[in-house]
Amino acid sequence: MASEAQGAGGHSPLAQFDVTKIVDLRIGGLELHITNSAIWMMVATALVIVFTTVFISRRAMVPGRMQSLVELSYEFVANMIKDNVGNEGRPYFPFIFTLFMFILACNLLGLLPYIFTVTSQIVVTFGLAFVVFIGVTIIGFIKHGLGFFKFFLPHGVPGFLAPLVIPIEVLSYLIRPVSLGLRLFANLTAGHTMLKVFASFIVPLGAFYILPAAIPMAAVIGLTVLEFAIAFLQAYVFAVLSCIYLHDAIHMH
Amino acid sequence: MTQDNGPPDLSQLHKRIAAVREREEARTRPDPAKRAMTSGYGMALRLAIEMVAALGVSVFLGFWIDKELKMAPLFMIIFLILGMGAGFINVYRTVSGLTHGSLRGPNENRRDADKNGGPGGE
Repeated sequence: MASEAQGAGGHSPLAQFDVTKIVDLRIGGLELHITNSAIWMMVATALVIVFTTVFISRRAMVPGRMQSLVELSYEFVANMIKDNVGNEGRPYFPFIFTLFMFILACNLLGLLPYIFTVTSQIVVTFGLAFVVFIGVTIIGFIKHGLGFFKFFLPHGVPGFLAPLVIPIEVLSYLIRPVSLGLRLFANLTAGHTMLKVFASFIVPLGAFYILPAAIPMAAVIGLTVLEFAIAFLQAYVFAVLSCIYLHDAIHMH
Repeated sequence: MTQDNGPPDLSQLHKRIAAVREREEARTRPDPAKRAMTSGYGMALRLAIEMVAALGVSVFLGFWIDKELKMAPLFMIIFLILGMGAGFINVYRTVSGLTHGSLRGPNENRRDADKNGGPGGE
């Protein structure tokens, strides 16, 4: 739910996804405008930094509420890596933790009214997904050298099927970042659009009778709860799939 | 943290904790992935995205190769068919919780798909 305030004709359920320029910024030929998307990304980053540094600065032996929340999120991601990658995944903890916290912060921020949902931009999700994809591929080649190409021929495939199986496997490997980015984008966009559509029923119906307006109102309340679950779930899914790709690169199968 | 002034059996306790930790590590070592399979709706959306992404990527790739080599529809058709195959394989792997690069039976090399429950099972 965002930008109802922006644009006079912003009643389309998709108007909330408009990227608008806030500050004009041109360096050389590059258009480095600061958009609402960029601003909310910075806010999300700042929130994560505050969350993980300020709240834990007391380092109490018996943690308070906020400190235990930070420790909970740390342990959550640490266990996720341990379960999905194994002990070899430990060096990659900072990356996965950053990824998870950033996506979670963006998703949750986007649920507040008037705040732009950064993760509903396919550029952002694809950017994150390709960072994971390229990083994981590089790790795979570092760990296994050229042996990483064996990844594309599963065990037990008869030799005469190799010309068919290898292109399919390579394609299926190339598809992974796209489906990773698309999943986050689709879930967030669909959820927020649905919320807006249901919300736009309330006022027209309420102008005539109160009772029919209560139905979309209840739907919006229910959807909001669902959206909170999705915000968390999608951050989790993104992090888990990154872990699984990392596992594949480190262990190869 | 030195246990100089602790109760006398503290070192024994340490040993026991180490033993339990060892066992726990051994139990969880086969890295079963908690797959994020939740509601049917989420699963359906996931599989649909998997299929669409497969076709999108492969058609785009075929189209691009065609444009470079000027062999109009040839590579797009080839990649369309390959993309369908890749899409179905990805869907099959997502459903049965297999890792990439394995096509073996569902009991081998399987990630514990639904044993650990959903992502809330933390």
